[in-house]
Amino acid sequence: MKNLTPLAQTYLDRFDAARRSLPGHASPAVTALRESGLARFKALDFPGRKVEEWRFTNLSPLTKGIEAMEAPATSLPVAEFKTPHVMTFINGRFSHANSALGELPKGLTLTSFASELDAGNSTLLESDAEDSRAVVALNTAFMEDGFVLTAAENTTLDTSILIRFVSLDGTADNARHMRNIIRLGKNATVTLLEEHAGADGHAYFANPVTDIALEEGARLNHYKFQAESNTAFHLATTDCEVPAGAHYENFSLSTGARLSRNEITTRITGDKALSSLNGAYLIRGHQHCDTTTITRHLVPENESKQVYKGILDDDAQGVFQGKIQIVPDAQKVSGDQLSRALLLSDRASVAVKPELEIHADDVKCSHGASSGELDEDALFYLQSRGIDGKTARKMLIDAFLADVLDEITDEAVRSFFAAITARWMEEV
Amino acid sequence: MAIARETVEQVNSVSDKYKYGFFSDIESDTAPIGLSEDIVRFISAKKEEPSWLLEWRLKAYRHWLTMIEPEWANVHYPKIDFQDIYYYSAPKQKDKPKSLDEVDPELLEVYKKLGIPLKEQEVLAGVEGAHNVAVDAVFDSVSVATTFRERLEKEGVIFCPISEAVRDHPELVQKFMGSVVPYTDNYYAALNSAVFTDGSFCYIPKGVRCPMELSTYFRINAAQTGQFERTLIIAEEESYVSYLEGCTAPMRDENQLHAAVVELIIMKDAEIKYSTVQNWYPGDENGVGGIYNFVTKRAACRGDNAKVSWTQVETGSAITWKYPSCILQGDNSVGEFYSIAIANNMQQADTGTKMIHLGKNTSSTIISKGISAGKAQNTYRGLVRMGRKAANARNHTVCDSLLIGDKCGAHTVPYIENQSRTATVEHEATTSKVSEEQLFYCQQRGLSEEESMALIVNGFCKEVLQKLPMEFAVEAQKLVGISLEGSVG
Repeated sequence: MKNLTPLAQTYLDRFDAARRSLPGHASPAVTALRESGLARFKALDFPGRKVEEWRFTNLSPLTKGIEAMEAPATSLPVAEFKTPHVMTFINGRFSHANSALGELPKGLTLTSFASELDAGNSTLLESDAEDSRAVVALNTAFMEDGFVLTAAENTTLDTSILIRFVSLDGTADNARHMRNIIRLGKNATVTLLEEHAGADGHAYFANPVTDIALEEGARLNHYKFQAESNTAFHLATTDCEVPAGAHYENFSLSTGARLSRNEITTRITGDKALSSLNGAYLIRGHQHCDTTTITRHLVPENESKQVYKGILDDDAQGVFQGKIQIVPDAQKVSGDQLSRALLLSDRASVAVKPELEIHADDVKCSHGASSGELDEDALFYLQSRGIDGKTARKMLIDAFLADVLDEITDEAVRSFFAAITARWMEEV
Repeated sequence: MAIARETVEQVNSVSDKYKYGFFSDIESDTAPIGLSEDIVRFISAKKEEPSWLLEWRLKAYRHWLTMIEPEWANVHYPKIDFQDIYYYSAPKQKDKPKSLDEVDPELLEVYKKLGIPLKEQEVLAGVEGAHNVAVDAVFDSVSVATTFRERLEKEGVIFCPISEAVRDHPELVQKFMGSVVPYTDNYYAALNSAVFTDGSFCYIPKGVRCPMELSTYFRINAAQTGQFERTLIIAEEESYVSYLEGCTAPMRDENQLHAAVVELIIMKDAEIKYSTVQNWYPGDENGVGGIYNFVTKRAACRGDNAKVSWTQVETGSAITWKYPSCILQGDNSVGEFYSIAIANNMQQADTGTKMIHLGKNTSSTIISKGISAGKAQNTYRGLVRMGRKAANARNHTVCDSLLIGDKCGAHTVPYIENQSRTATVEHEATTSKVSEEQLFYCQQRGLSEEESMALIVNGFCKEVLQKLPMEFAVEAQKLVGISLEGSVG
């Protein structure tokens, strides 16, 4: 048998000692779950580039083992996004002191996953036992905390919930295996923003897994701002089931991490369901950002849409892999996808793999992908109108991003994200 | 509209689906079944090859033994038993024929039946102003005839079986063979390098525009035989050649393997246009029999302003695994790929292209039309890579898939890697079915459902069909109609 990667070996060695302090250690069901996760992870190891799904993202900087950086611990930054409902996790654990859950509507609960596990509640993870993804298996073995959001039938939240995952140092055990659960009842509507942040110079590995199930007619606006430390690793996995009449909207804005991957799988299981996955990544330096989506249309008459845009400067590397799968007999399905990347530097690069796998004939599917620099003609046009080069470039980049930011339904989040992208652009 | 009408007529007139499925009882000379170093030596000895070539074959064979059969393609088939294949089969002949008149009349009959005239005076008789076509006919493992050789020699063009080129022009073969597709390239290329038996060799000298289309016609006849041919085309500076390739095989219950390697080398300001109409036996509607077509085709644009154009119409074969590629090394070089892949019944096709941009201002175009019907699976798999030095390179890709029937599948797997800021890569793909409105419109004008379908599909493929040389375009258009027979209603 081939040797495990050093980091994988570390996890295997550490498991016995660690599990006694992990939440739910008194519960046999939780223990069994962790052991099965560890066994699967041992068999899988971290994926190498020979694994087709990971051919563009080289995990070896992570799997060699993370060195703790000598960076001073920082204090919690004030949240920029204002909302009455804030839940904060510091270094992978729920921080009651820094959270203000506010008054949530009746039928809506927001708790910490660790407290659920400590209460022996493992039923939330029934689907987990068969998962063949290494990072998910690792998460199952070591999951420590996260949020659990449930909404009863017809519950509507008018504002939004902010969940903050903040890393304040680069030591601890260098990893945050967060497990988040979202369950929305029939016709419930919730808006949620996740913030993943850490101060530059701190090295750690964030491995969040989010499991979402919507019931008929439910709507979830799920936004994510990934601004991890520039020396951190962030591998996020999100699964969502979208039944009849439900609408899942996801928008991910990524500006952080040395190496990040945002993998989203949606399973569309009902008619008139809509999965709308969008995002933008703005990276520079030696950052590597991977966006991977898998959209599975399992029944007839539903729709999926995707728009992803990336701006890459310096030596940054962008990856987009998007697969649309339509199973036999899933007729009258529409699936559209667009990915575009803007290269601002001669050393930046992008790898794209938009994939269609279609087994039904009465469908409409398309994907488009493009990459390149700013349009010279457009630049010239603006300059000939008396706009200086720098402003003209900024206008064109703004316009490039505006398209995708417009996909965000929630106005407050849209303007928050617009402010972040504007700030990023000032440094171009 | 005339062409469309012709297609419809053709669809009506053809009663049997695969008219090339006959077998000719021609006595042949075969090597013992199976594969070993001795078989490689046997083939090399039969061909009276120089020792360097035998060494090369043996190196390829030894390398092949260390390789694993690729499984990444979206095709499914039982494991091939490489020891259950004849690697050499040649029609028996007493002496090498000196002219076409001495070629076994039965062989000529085969080609006549296939519609490939080997008698020069018959070539496209009566079509005024049309180009003549020089044909190299490859039957199982050997080339049986090559037409118009004298005419071509006058221009300095060398067009002959590759086994003859090894004998008469060893310096050219040694210099270029394996320089685009090395024997280490992939599993089937390694196998081919070890056991290749014949194929065509073309050399177009500097400044020459080849006076006629060159063509090779491949025919598998013997049972249980694999065909491993190797084609090598070299276009020197400022030259031009258009090359056509066609292939058929008898209907059999067994699967036969065809693993070819095609290498094109294009120098400064030269151009090669390479067209294929692939019509190997596809197997019956239950997926019994048919050819496994596992082919490596690659072109290297070595000089500035070189141009290569691949056009393919893939209608046959039980399984197709083929990615004609372009390596654009020279500045301003151009690569084109136009493809129609039709998969009906139980056929599986995994095909596409690779465009590797290395030089400045290189450009490439990919137009791929995939049509799936019956229970077939059709995959486009392609790579566009812009290297760091490919300043101002451009690529434009369009992949369209058409689905006919609810049991088939259409898949698109493009890989796009851009490392050049000033390069522009555009990719678009769509998948849809034949619209009810279009069908209704045609039927309302008095066409049957099947005629309407052929008309619409031909329209869908038009962009690619237009790129084929005239001689091939007509045949290809008919094929499109025939291949889809039985897919509607």
